Amino acid sequence: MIKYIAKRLAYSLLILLGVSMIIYFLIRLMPVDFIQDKINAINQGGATVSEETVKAMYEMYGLGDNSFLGILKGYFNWLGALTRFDLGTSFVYGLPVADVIFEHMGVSFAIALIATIFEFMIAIPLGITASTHQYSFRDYLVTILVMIGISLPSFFFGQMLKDALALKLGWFPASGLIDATASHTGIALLLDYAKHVFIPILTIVILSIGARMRMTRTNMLEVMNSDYIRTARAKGLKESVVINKHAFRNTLIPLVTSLAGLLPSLFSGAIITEQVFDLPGIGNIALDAMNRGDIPFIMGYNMFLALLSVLGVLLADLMYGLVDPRVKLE
Amino acid sequence: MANNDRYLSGKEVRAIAKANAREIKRLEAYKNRKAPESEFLAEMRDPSNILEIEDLHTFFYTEQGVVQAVNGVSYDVPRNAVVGVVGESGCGKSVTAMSVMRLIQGPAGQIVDGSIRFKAYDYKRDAKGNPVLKEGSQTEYEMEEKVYDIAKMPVHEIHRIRGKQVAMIFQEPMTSLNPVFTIGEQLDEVTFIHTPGATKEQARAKSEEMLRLVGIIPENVYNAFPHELSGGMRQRVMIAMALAAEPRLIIADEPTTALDVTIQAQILDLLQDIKNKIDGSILLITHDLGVIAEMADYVVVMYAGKVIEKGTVQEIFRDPRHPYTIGLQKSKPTMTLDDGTELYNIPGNVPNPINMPSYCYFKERCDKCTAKCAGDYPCMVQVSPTHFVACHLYSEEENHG
Repeated sequence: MIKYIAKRLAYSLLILLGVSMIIYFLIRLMPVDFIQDKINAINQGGATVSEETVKAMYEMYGLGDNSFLGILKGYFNWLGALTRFDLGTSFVYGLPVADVIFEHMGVSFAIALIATIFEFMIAIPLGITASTHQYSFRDYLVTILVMIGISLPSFFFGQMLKDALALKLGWFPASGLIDATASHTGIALLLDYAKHVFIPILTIVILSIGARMRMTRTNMLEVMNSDYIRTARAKGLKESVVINKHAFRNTLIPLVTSLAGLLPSLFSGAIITEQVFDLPGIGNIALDAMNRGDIPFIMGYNMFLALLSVLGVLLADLMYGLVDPRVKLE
Repeated sequence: MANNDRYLSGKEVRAIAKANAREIKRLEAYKNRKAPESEFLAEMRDPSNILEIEDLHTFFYTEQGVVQAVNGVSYDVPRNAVVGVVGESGCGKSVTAMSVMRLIQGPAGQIVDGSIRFKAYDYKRDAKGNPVLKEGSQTEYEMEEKVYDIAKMPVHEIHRIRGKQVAMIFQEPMTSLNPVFTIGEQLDEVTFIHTPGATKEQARAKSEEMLRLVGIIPENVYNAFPHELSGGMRQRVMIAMALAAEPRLIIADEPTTALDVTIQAQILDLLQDIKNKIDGSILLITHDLGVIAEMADYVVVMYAGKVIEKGTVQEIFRDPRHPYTIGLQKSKPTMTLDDGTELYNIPGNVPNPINMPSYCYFKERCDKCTAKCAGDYPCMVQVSPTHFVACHLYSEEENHG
């Protein structure tokens, strides 16, 4: 088991190396120039920047040479710093990338975690009822409702909820994370946070339960039609035991697959939703960094997600060993 | 099976769907109704029987129309006897058995009509339906023999007969065990359901006893998962599971079909052996005439959802009457037949199950067809006290005699 994990981690390192290479080269090919934007901003202010200063700035940021060798050199500089656990300094924020990521991670993670918990709590029972009452009115109703959820774009639906619940009814604040006019502490602060993230979480939950509900329903139907469920019924087990013990344990197996994707999604931030509600989450920051060509930040953020993805897959594989006795890890 | 005769128009498909939905709704409501015990208690026609199936109709409501999978089947299983049901694939023999267990997959599959009377040995119940305690005891209940009509039982009462009174061995041992639980867990469960207050040790002891009965050394298998066993071993476990609650009737639905030949022989020997050891009846469903000849006391021959002939094993094998049974006997390969002649087969096909003709279903394939065969479906004719056949050839005989 330990040998298996060690082997998988070694492979993961190779994967991450490849990923970092691809991301770095892609970013350097992006038609965004942080330095040029900066100089334009200065120029607009009325001042002029000399050719030499511009050149020096390019050198300082390590972007002077855009030939293949130059990019390669930049990549190895980045990689060298990484081996010293240094993700570099964000161009935009002037702070270490790791600090920027962790500063904004909290909000996104909290929102994603709460949304995911609600998503599971709502989608799984809905999926189970839909499957046990297949083709009934209940099944169609649930399916239609969640399909509406899947089909709505988040920027539209988020905006609608904001308009209805925040602007028209005034029950919740429309944007931001805290009420800037008041200085809350303790429980009051927590309540203030809760009020601000309510609509974003509602948006995410409604948009995401559809896929999970449909997945649960499909898995459940497949399991419910299998021979061993017939055996369980033939034994004389009550239907509730058949479903909750014999069927549910088997639906866990495909559910584990979806866990692999869950880990990065908890940390990646909801880019569009955060944008709509103006939340200082990691998704919002990452989009901004992308637009402004903040190379160290984009690298750091993407590598962080890549690491989580690789770990998520490893974790899912380990979980298979737990939930499915047919899987042997070696 | 699809309706191959012609293409269904959209209008027809919608009409079928509407009719199906109406019927299914009615039957589901009947299945899920709340009913006092008196509503599904019955009387046996012959007290020596343990199971009496009478005029059973089990239909499948499909998009192409109603498939009459079991269309008026009647047969009895006497106490301590082995009844073999033979017939080709799709003739309704398994569906009949599944109807007895009430395992027909709804909402498409429904028991539409008929009765399945089963003599159970169950808890005595008071007017409210609660088990009656034995006088002076806190844990033991009064037991009594009573006859349930399984076809009329509401679905939530089925646990009274499933497993405890009637157990079933399925055709597919490879997939019939739950892959995520050990053999021990799955066997113990049977004891836990049917013996109230059983401890873990008692359940394990019972499971190990059952495993030994089916020729498995419990130490090797009790903690194993199903995927670690071969097909033959899994079928043995299934048999052990069926026996664990000491049921009065075991339904073996083609227990050897999915196994290879040497294992088939072993499993049949095992069933033969168990038949002598237990105090119960076996309903053996198969399309293998050899198995029936070896194991059964009585034989029921089914064709296209109906019983066409039934009798004792001697009567069916020595003196088959229905042209289909005769054809079946002729199409059996034998060791002596080695003169290069081709093996006999009954010509033609089974009629479309959605559009069954009004005349005898075997008419098109029958070589003894008479003018009368174009008339109504033949009734059951008694040719000996135990031998019945549904064929016009013999109803004439009856008239003359």
